[in-house]
Amino acid sequence: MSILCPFPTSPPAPPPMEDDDLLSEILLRLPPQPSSLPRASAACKRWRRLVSDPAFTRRFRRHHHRRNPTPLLGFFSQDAAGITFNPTMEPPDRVSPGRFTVLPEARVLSKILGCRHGLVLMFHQKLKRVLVWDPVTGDQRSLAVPHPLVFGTDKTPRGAVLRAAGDAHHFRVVLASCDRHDRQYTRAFACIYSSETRVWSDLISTLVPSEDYMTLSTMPAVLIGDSLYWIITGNWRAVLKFDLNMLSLAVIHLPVDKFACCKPWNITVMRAEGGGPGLLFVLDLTAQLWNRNTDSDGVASWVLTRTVELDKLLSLNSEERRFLMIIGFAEYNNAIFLQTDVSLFMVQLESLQFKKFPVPIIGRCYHPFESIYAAGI
Amino acid sequence: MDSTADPKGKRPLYQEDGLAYARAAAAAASATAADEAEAKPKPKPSSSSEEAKPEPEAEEMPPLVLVAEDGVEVRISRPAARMSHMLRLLMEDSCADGPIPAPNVHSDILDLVVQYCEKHGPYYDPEASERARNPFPPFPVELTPTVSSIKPVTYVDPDPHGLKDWDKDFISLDNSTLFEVILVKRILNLLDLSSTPQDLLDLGTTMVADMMRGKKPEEIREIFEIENDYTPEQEAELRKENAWAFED
Repeated sequence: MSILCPFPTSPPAPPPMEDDDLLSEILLRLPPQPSSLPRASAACKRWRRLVSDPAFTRRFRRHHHRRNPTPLLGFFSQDAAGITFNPTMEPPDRVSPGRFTVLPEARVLSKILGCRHGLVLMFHQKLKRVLVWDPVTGDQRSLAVPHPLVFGTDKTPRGAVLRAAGDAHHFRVVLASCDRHDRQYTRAFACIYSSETRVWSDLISTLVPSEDYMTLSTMPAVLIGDSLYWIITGNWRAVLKFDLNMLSLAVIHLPVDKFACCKPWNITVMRAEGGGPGLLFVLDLTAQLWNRNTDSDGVASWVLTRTVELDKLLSLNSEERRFLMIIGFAEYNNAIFLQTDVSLFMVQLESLQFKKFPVPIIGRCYHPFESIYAAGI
Repeated sequence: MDSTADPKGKRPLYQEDGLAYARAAAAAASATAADEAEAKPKPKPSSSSEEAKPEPEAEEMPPLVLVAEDGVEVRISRPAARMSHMLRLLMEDSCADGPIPAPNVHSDILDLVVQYCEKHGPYYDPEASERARNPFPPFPVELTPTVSSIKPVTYVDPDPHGLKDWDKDFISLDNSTLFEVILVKRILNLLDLSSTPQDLLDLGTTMVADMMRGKKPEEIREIFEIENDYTPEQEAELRKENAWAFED
């Protein structure tokens, strides 16, 4: 090739584009938007082969996971007919709903428990199994749940899925629930599955002194550091923390007076400035941000650090003001997802930047799906 | 000479001899004794975290002078020079006052690399965590204007410094020249990807990947002179199955 000519003093090197390793390094740096790898695959068969290599797609996912905010591809919703995907990006990254289809059996009877790291966790109510679905690759793993106690009082567990740190290929599933133990105590349960060992842990539990009815919020769990957090609802409010390393459960109480009127859908755990768990509580269209402070005696307490007037920030119209619900927290982007009757919002907590989307079908519950589209064609 | 290797064991931009030569040449040019130039390696100074923001001092200091293989001098400002590991070392050792030879690099290529670094340098923090060290920082500080309630908002690819537009112009130059940017790296370090200094590998591969951003497959083929080995039927099939990815 003529481009080699200006450097007569150097030994001839293969033209860079014929070097697979170098080409992989370049393709790795394509933006993590959905259209990137499909378009590269369409260039020629060699590029398609490189991009389809599972090792490459794992590297791609890992490379962008560290460096960029994970793109919001859209929202999943479900109704009696099944699970639907509603894309939110603009063309050519607007993934068609038909691209993300789960097996027919899973569609109708499965309830979405949550999404994280590009994986969707579903619970098959009839079969009492959980399903881990990767919409981008199409992989599905169905797991039997060995501990009936995690189904809880309403027979549906709360759950979270996450990719194992350091290896994007493997995942963990955590199921949790509450059940009345006796008149004075409620017990919280959890168990964890690792796709590396293919084994569920023993049931982990903790007693919570509570005479009142207690259950875990159906809103998705939040991952902060190495712990998952659920809101405990019922007649009082607390936070259930599941430490993924220690495999232990703990309950963090919330001051009754400050959170008396919070409902499951207007409170969520979020990442506080120090990196630990904080709380976001929406009251009368104002978001309160709470941090957990520990004083010199080691006593921890919740402190209100910031308020944000959501109605002003988001310019909510009268329809939107009627009902505002928190539907998720994007852990890596530090953004909350809100849903009103007609709109969906993603609000970044530090900058207060937000994005708005119309609700495709009113009345459904939406699950934000963020993923690095690491797949060719 | 081990003194030229950084803690990760990577070789610097230039061959070891080249770095020693550059130091010696720069030192001689600034009339410093050659012995001082060959002093023990400095551990990464903790004050290098100050490099996160361009220091007023650094900007006031004169630009570095790089001498290409064809003898042409190319100037690079100090904030921009921070993007090169080797140039950073030279600046830290105060050996960067005189002309710095860039063997095997033609002035045309050097010019392009310098232009790229000038644009991205001020936002490049080599000490930052990988997440923060991004020429296209996410989530610009200013609030987005409110939008009407019906129109869906485009996924904003945040680029508050206008780097993407600039890059589009930059890379619209003759693409065989940019090919040579990659080739330069290959020539400098022959065939071993693992021995190329990471920052130059990042730079070169990012530049090429940026060229492909938003391009259609036919445009990618043209730029990189790839032969389309799909049959028309195969290609039509691929596009049909994934039509959404090929929409405009």
